[in-house]
Amino acid sequence: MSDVPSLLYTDVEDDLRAAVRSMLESHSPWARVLERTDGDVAGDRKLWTLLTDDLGLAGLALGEDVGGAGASWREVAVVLEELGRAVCDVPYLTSVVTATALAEAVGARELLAELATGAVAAVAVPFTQPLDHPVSDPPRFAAGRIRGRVPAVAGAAEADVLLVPVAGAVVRVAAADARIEPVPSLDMTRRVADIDFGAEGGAAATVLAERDAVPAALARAAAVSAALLASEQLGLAQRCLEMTVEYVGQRRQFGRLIGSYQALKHRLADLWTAIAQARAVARYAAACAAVDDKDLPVAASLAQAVCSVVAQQAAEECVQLHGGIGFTWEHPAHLYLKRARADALAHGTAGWHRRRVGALVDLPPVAD
Amino acid sequence: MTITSAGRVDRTAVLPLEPTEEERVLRSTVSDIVGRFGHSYYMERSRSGEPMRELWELLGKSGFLGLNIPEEYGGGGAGLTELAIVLEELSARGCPELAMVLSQGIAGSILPLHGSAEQKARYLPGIASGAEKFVFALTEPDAGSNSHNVTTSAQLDGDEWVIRGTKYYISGVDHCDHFLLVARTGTNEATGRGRLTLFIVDDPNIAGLERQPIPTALQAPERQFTLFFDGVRLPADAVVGEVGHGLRPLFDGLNPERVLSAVICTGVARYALDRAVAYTTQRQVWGVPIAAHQGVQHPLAEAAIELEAARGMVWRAAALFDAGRPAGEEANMAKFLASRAGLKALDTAIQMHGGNGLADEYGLADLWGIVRLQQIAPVSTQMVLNHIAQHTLGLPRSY
Ligand SMILES: Cc1cc2nc3c(=O)[nH]c(=O)nc-3n(C[C@H](O)[C@H](O)[C@H](O)COP(=O)(O)OP(=O)(O)OC[C@H]3O[C@@H](n4cnc5c(N)ncnc54)[C@H](O)[C@@H]3O)c2cc1C
Repeated sequence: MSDVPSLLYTDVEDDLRAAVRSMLESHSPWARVLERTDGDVAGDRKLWTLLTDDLGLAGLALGEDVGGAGASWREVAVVLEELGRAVCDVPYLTSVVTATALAEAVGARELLAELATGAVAAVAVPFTQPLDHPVSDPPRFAAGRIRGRVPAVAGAAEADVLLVPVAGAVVRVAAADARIEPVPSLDMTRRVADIDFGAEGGAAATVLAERDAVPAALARAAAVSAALLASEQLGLAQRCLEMTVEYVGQRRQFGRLIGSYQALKHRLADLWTAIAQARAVARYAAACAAVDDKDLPVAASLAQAVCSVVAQQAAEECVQLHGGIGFTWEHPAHLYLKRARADALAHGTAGWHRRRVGALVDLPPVAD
Repeated sequence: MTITSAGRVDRTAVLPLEPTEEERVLRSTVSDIVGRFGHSYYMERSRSGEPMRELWELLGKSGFLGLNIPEEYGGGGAGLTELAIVLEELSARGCPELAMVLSQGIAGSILPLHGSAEQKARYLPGIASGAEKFVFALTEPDAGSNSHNVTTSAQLDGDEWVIRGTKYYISGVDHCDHFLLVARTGTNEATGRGRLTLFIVDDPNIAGLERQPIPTALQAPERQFTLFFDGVRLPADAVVGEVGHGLRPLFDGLNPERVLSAVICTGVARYALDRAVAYTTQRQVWGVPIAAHQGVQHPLAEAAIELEAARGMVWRAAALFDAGRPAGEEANMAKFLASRAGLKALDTAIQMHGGNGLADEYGLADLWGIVRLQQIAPVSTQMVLNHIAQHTLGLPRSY
């Protein structure tokens, strides 16, 4: 980026954060999140309605011409920090970020207008797969019908609309026309499902983009997803640090607050510095996405390379420094740990992104 | 005990959990000897570039330099373990001796196995007593980690070999009596790799050989040199082992070298931790000894744990080697662990000394070079990992 944008939070962003946090504190306390993980329903519908209808967060990054709020990915990133902080079970990352970025990149204005009002979409690519990285056995599209399967898609069970990359095209399929089978996953606050379009007749599909337009659109959506996921990881890490600091400030052992032991203080100070770095790369990635800077691919992969690791570190420290209680079901630490672990795989691992950064900055390729 | 065909004393592969009485005595005797010199002696010789001659001679006279050399050649007839104990004790008193790695470790391991009867009789007694010192010239500007790329050539002219080429980073040539030289005597047509041959250069001041010092960050008595061979003539009997098969004897010097490099690190780590404990229990900054703070204790405790883990592997590798068992994996692992543990212990000790950590008076920072070196030479940490990946894990060769 020629001029590095301010990475600080603006007043508008602070207000947005406060509104989202207050909503989540009332409607998505961690006990509710925990309870929902035992249920059958993917995605907290009630919370989604509050976020989209009351706060208008679905079309935040979209232009007013399609019914959006005319803000940018920077503001969406702030929302994601808050959602990560509360390990909320809503399809915000999958619909408002990934599907919206893809719909925008292919110029699907009609779909964007639906998304702006809170319709839920998902891109039918395994959650662990970077969107612009070819899948081994993609669904096949011919003569208006789509056939085949896509495993482990996040946000699919909640979706109204599926966006499906196929050979040489991106097509739109009504979720109701596909068989969507939830599968158990480590992180039950963001479930994954297998999508089956059927083998025989398949499902009806309409083309959103074709041929040359496809790779660039997928690359753009992949980069935006990776960039914005970092903010969710940042919010999660920040919350883990806060919980832990609070705990070591009240728990006593050997007649002292355990937070008075240097060994714990220094660990938390190390974590603080790691999170400060994570914040810098996550904010920079969001800023690059907001203005579609040419540095976005590097910024996005850098953000994933850093934030995937830091979020896990924060969640692990949270478990470790809570001692036995951090290991129990009745404490939220495990929710954060599982989300951090799943996020570390989402849209490519830290290792995958490090390798991509290597290629983007012209390091010689690794021999395969 | 039986004597193997290789002439090495063969022992059973056991590792006592407690040091034997012999080991205790050996350690304390050597430690007492080095203690008379102390780290300031090492420092002074590092500055002047003169060898630690008096210490070396005293150790030699007491029979501590040739412990791994067969008795018939004036050695102690013990093993690598005993030699490594001596070097660890030297290092633990702040006097790590690189020359032992090169002379007793490499040359002293290769010659009993691959030397001719004349070579053994001529050179081993000197190595054993310390009266004659070998160094070792392998590395070239384009052949470091990849020794197959050696280009220094040896060509027969009548019954003499004529050597041409350049070696660099060769340690201690200015104070050695002889050195081992690896040169190319042909090329394997199939692989394109050099056919290498190992030579003894009897006289380091031989005609046609020039040397130029290379200043390095290593603060040790041994200096490094670039060697230019311009038609150096060696007699036919300078060859060790077979012509074109120099890697074979070379490999027999590798495991001892790994173990001895490792004990330099574990010894310096012990030295550094001793220093750190003494200092931090006496130094007060906030009304209590700094050792009372967890921020000081825990890094030292971690360094102590890593040190003992490394030592466990070091003595295991040495015991396997002495039992005539394959020891390549263990020796590489030992070097890997020890080079890290050494660096960590030393760095932690420096940190816990505050500003004094960098002061000559406290004798820590000057040891950084010799410990850091063990992650680069003679094999780098990355090459150790390559070895373990390929040979221990059976992963495909990556290079
Ligand atoms: C103080 C000092 C004393 C020395 N004394 C002697 C001596 O007495 N005699 C002697 O013969 N030599 C000596 N050496 C040389 C030493 O053995 C070499 O420096 C060493 O073998 C590394 O070779 P290189 O420097 O050419 O590094 P390179 O081989 O060029 O390696 C450079 C870097 O690339 C990495 N690398 C290379 N190949 C791979 C791979 N396949 N996979 C992953 N990483 C790889 C290495 O690990 C290293 O980090 C000495 C060196 C020093 C600094």
